[in-house]
Amino acid sequence: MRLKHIFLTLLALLVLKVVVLPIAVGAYYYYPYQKYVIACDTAMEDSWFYKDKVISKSEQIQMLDCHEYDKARKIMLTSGLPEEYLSYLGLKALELYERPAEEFAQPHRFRER
Amino acid sequence: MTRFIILLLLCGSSFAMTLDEKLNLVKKIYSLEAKNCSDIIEKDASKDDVRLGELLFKSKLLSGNNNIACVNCHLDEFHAGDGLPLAIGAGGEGKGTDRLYHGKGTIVARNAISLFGTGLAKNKEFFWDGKVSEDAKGNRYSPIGKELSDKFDNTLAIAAILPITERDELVGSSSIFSPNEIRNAVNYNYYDDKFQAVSEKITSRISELDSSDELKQLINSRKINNFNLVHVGNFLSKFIAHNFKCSESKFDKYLMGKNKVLTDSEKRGALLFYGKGRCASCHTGNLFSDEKYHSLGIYQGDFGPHPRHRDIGRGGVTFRLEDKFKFKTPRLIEVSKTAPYGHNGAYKTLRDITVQHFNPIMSILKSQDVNEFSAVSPTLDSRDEVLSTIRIENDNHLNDIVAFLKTL
Repeated sequence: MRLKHIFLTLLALLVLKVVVLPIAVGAYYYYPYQKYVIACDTAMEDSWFYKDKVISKSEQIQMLDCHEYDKARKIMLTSGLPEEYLSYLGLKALELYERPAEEFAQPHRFRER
Repeated sequence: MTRFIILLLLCGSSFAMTLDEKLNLVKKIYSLEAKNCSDIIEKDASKDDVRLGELLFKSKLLSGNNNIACVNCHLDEFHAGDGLPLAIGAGGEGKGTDRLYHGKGTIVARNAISLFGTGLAKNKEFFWDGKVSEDAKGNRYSPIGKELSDKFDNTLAIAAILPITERDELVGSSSIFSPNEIRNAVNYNYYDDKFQAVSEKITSRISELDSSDELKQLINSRKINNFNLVHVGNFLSKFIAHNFKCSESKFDKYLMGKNKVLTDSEKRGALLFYGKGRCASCHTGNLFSDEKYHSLGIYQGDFGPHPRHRDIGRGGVTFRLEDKFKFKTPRLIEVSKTAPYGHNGAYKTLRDITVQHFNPIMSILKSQDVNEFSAVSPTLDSRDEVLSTIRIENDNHLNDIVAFLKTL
């Protein structure tokens, strides 16, 4: 009876680790991670182009976005999410600031015939 | 399983750095500390000295037609400004918009700067274009020349008397039926002589005051012979420094360790201000100004001190091309109370002037007289390079920055 109890507990923990946790962490970070991707990308771009020219101290503060990105990434990987999923979210991030399709569709519609 | 345990431990705390943790980094990187409002010039001025300065500040005797005083454009209810986009000088009546609608006052082509914090010892540059200033070696620069400037106790004192010699501010007009002796002194004298001529008129007026007049009594008690414009400036500076002291702000309290005084929105605003908003590139230090000159590419309005109603800013002082359309970085002490904003007061709200930093097109579009012959290119071309690196990307960012500005 006791062995069964231990087995069930371990099984529950395993399900929690392998199934529930990655899904929960993946869901929690779905949008924040994409935003961190863009924020860090912007910070690195700004740093590359402007660091020694017009911004210095503010660049250091902006780079905290990359720190948050790195932390989120580590947490997601630690939870068991595969690297490929993070890469996928990185691609999804590119769609974050896309304009709605309606804006593109509107000029092409017939107004009268 | 180890990873799982680590993650479970992590769950006990927030994954992201807290706003306070990030702002602690900001404090270290920028070496931030609360401002010291008691570090003013003329610290040792007596009560009577300050009172004498106050009487002069409120005295219409300093104006050409005895109809305007310093206090008319630096009112308590407008936080030592006048609440108007452009100041209304000689001939104006009333306060705030009443002064505008009265319709007979002369328009001074720049926004009246709030006097709060002006008397802080750190302040060495005065007016939007810095026409009165003092460098690190103590050399003074002003329209009245070095020799006269050095006679004043401090640089603020020089700045304080300039409006007394300006036609549109305190001097006013003159006519055959009501001659204005100060106007005539200004009209028929040049450079240093103009200052001396006005000074003599002021000395004469003060000497004619009744002996029962409080101003006269205070002057007599100091045994000053020939109370002239230098004395006027010196006492005005004592009053301005003592009366318009800045006060401890919410952000000062935060810098002193009281983390709960700021809301999350204000803290996010602070992070933007010192980070990707780039505000602290120019609004530096605890007075939030680098005391340098920059251009926001502000659209030229209907009035300006230079030909064709333009305002070329610092370029009108240094006559250097690179200084055209540049204005002094305004200090942001209690900035939420000093609307409207910009050298020409064209921005009614903090939100408007903040947007101008990263999107100058909005103000041009809103301008009613914009047309295809409006030469907006010179001002836009003069915009400071750092402005193009600002990353204020949505309403939330903007709201947070404005919330932070209100804590200063």
